[in-house]
Amino acid sequence: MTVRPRGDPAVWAAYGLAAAFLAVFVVYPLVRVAATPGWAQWYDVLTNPRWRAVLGNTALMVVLSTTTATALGFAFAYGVLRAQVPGARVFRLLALAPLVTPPFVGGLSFIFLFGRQGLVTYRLLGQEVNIYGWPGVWLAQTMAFFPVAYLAIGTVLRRVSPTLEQAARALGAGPWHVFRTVVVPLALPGIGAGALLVAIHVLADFGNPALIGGRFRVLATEAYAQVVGWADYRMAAVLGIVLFLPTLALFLVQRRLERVPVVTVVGRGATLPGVRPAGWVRAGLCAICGVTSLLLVAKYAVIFLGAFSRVWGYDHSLTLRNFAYVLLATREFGNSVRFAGTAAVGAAVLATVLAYLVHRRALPLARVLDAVTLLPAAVPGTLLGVAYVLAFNAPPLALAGGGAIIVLSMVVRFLPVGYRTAVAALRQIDRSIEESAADLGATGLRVFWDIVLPLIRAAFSAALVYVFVRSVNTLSAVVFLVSHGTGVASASILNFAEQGYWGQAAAMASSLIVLALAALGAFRLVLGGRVRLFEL
Amino acid sequence: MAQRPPAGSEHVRLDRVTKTFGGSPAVVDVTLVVAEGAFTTLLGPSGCGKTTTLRMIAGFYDPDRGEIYVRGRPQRGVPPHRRPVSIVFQDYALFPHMTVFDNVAYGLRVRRLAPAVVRQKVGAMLDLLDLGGLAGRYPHELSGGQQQRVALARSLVIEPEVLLMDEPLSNLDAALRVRVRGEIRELQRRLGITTIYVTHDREEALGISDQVAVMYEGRLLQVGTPEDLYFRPGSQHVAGLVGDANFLPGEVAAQRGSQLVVRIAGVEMPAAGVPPAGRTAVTVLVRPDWWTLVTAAGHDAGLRGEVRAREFRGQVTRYWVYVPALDRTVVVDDATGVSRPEGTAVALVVRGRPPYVVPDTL
Repeated sequence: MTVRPRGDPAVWAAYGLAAAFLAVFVVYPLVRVAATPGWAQWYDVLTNPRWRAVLGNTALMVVLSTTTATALGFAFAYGVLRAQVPGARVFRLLALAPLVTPPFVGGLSFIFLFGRQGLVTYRLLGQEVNIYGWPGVWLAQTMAFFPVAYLAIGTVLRRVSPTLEQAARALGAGPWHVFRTVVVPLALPGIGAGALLVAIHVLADFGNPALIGGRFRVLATEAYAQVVGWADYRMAAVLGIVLFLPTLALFLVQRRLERVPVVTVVGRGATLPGVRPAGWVRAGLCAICGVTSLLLVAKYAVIFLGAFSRVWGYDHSLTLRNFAYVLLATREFGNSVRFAGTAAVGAAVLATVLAYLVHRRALPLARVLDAVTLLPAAVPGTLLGVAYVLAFNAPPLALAGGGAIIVLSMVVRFLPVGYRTAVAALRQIDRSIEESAADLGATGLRVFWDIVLPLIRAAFSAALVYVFVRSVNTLSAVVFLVSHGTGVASASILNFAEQGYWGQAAAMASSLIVLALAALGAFRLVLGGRVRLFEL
Repeated sequence: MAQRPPAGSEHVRLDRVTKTFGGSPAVVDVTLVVAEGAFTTLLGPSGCGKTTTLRMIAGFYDPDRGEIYVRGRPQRGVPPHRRPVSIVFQDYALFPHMTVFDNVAYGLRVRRLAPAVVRQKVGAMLDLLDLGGLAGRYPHELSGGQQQRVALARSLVIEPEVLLMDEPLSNLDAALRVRVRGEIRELQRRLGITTIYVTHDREEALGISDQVAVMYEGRLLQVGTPEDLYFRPGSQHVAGLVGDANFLPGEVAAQRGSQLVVRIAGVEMPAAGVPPAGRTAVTVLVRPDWWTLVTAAGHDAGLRGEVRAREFRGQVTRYWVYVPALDRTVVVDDATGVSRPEGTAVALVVRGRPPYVVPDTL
């Protein structure tokens, strides 16, 4: 039962504005980029062995990184949630770090450790090696994206009642048998979802291949090269679309799987603790989680070390010069904060309004609105970047070169997450509350303002923080949209790295990390743990 | 099944079993003997320790102090799957990704029985529990009652010595509960399997058990047959846990051997029970259905009172009668069907059963 919007102008106005926004900033750019390439480009991409190699490289990374990241995510989820390995609390916290820090930090620290002047290769082993290539990208992506799998698997594992394991055990099954016949089959939907999500992230990853791929090119970096090196937007568009198609497919499969009901049995009374796996299994899981955690800590430690070092590789005396430069002498960090802040507010508001309109009001084309709002989740940043450049570089919407286009790209990119959060929160509010308000005479807008908004405030704030943190770290779309005066921190890290200014690169990366942690910390303080972000 | 010891001999024994969880005692000093083939129920309110006790018998925890024996063999350190017991969980714990057949067959397959044997045993058990035809269904496609029977089948098919059931009917609606508990009892009698059953529902406990153990706050208050506990409770607590009760202050008027006469609010009546030695002031138990209720006019026997409230319950009408002589409200169940509205002056006479003198205050 939904509240009818008849005669409620405020609701219709909101609907119109939201629909217009989606049409102009989601649908139009994608249509534009789809129409850009000509037959020549399509023919080229299908026959030219150079593109085939790039496609093959991309596929290789997807297969490798998804496999290892999912396996690692499973080891973490099972180890922390079920096997209760020693140090589970620490692992749980550390596993979430890659989600709030720039995904390409891995690539950067990899260079610091194993590069020409790397800590391990040069200082420890005295070697000067060329480490650029796919193994580094594989490692960096595995470390960056395993938390995505960990969260997805963890969500499903949590819903598997430990009593089921105990029942199997009581019927005579050994721990391995219980694991094989009860835990794994029930965790499979989570493993599948995790793998799909990781694959989408790997496909869209620009920063890591850009930093340490070297001559190993994937679709995302190649599209960028086409724009920056050749100004060939048509080719870039084709590559972006080729990247988009598998991402869209994975996204649709993942959505379909989400609809399969996870059958859980919820009983009253205290549940039994789960079946503890054998000692050696726990030891093994602890080792895996431990080594990964150490690598994670090393990853961040090296970045901070690099930020405080005068000249990495030669002069490791400590200095604040790098920080002074990136934070005070340049504008990129400030721009990032401003753009991300604006985008966060915009995305959170828009997501909330859309969620309300779609799920609480029987408006026409609600399902279309829902689909279009979620569509950006399937669009890799690269394609979004190229699309925005093509769509907004001429009147009437000549936004290219300004800050607005960057903010808009962030809003659109992260709208789906905010929307999903708001929808989930709305579902928990009983319709009857709104209906009583309407019954007492409140118009649609008042109901929204007085009743709905306060109740979903927590979800709104969560969306706000999440969009902020992701926007500040995003690279693959904005790298196409920055220009003189509107540079952002993430793109500048890439520039510094390309020019060998390692100290500045590290200082900027460190600042982003601290900013993200500060935002999360403030969120936690203000909302006092009432809302869980990333299952924290 | 293997040769079974004669019915009535000791099968399971708990000897001063104690279990504490993080500082709060869950089970304290529980001693209980369960006979071969008997249906024993642990009865008590939430938090009384009955589920913890059952889980210790099952082997999920070991007692901190005390021992548990099955046929004389101590069970400390023996994990659940090596004990000759099988447990049916409160939420059934059916494997949601397996069919009814696979659920029931699980224990047999773990024991590596031949597929043909598995098929035969599972088929027989499903028929016994009236689940034939549902073998291919999944748990979420079954009703609550059917799920419960699948859980039971799964536990019984491995032929345990002792069947443990943890509040198996709590997820079913009221009408179904009554029917299913009868079926469980019928099945248990047919198979002759020793059963330990946990519930907070006293009607359930009294209705189907050979022996009831009343628990409260971790301690075992009294063990006995349902009749023993209902008509001759060892304390006010047990009396209240086992059925509705009025506790009235009285004095011992006369005692000649086994004949006992008490005086309540000046009215003398014969009573049952043994008053504590040397005491004249006693507490007397009168259950609501032991009263006879008459409209006061013309009656000079019994306690005088006034109807304060009434509730029609079909078979009986429950009255709350204020008795000025005792300055308290007494609960009375009247089956005559005569309607007495609020304010009616009535007289109460004990005729159903003699009032029972409760041995102590707790």
